Amino acid sequence: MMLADNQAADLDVVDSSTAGFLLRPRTWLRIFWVAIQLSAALLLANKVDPFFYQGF
Amino acid sequence: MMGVFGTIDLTDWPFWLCVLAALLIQPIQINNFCRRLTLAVVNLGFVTWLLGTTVWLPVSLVTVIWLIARSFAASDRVRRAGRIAAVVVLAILLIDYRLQPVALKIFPALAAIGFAYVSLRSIELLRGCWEDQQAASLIDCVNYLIPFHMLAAGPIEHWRDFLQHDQRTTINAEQTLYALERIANGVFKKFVLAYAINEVFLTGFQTSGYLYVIEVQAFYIWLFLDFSGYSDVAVGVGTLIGVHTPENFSRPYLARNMVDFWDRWHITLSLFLRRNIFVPLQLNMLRLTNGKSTVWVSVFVFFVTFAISAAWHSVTPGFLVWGFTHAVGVSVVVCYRHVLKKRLGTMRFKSYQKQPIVRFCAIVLTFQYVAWTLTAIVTL
Repeated sequence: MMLADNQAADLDVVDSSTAGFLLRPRTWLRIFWVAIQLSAALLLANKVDPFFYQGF
Repeated sequence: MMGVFGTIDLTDWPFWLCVLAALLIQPIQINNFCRRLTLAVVNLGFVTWLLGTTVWLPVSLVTVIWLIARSFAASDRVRRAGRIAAVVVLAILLIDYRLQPVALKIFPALAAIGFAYVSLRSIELLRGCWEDQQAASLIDCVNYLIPFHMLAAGPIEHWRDFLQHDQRTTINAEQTLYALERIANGVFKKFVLAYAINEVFLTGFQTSGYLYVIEVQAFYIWLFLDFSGYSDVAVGVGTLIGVHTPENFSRPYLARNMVDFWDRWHITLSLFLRRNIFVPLQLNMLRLTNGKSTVWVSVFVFFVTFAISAAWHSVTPGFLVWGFTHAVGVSVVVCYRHVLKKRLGTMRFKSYQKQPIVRFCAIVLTFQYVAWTLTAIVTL
């Protein structure tokens, strides 16, 4: 019983930390910024020459 | 650029397909052996896409390096033979790769796999196995020598760091977001910021007057964004797929002198050169001079190290001049520091360094030195 309680407590900690992370407004701001950066990069990707350091 | 071979370009779908594959195989990585094996399959899959049937070349290279590393764990006679074989194999491949315009181009596929970096990793691996008198497994050789996300532009990981971090890791939501941020930041730097600078400011130094001065600054910033953008992607992908990938940049534009610059720019190459050329050569030179003239010994070793570094980048007059100017820059810093310490004493020297105006001037001067010396690689 004791062990089960500990395991439940551990699970709670993991769940709440992940959930807590996802509930933070700052997390969604970061995700939003990632989406903007990726979208801009995808729009311009085919215009850029192959990687400069290729063949170094 | 590579003729019949593919290119390691972030706009190509096979690169991202390999990232996806490395992510999807994570559930079947029930232990570290499974992890290493499946990663090796992904790495070899990427190289096969790049080279087609010529994949025999990197496979043979990895096998030869593996056999040589095995010989290092054997008797002294075999070890010595292995060392000679290592020097011969790497010398042939590097000469063929670096002097391609004048050589026979026996192995044109070397360029496609980014052999410059593979060669440095081969040296690290063989040196590590030689010193530890331990063999490396074939799977480790594949994963260390041809990691798909570090092929085009490094970083160059230390062999012992690779072994130390070669374990199963799980990442939480925060680390996943961090990895995605690094990837997004990297592609944004490369495809948006570097692209914009290239379009607006860079002409291959065809400008004159104040426009030339602006282009010099823009070229350094563009190179930083392009190169560090790729490194960001490599670190992000590495974090995501559970492969340790060292940092390659630490705000080099804030370097206050040329020694500081090389601690912040292409960090893993600097560490490689320090470990494998600078320190051994300096120790031997100091032994020869009985520990006298330490500053002059350092200056001499800087010139040798930067000459090798320049030749590794490319055997062209532009890169050789670039290497020479950086050796001059680093040597001047060492000598100037030596003189200042002698005159001011350690305490006053430290307080002098901490003055904001001194720091500001040092950063501006270093930025300009790096920017102007970089023009050599394009104009010469």
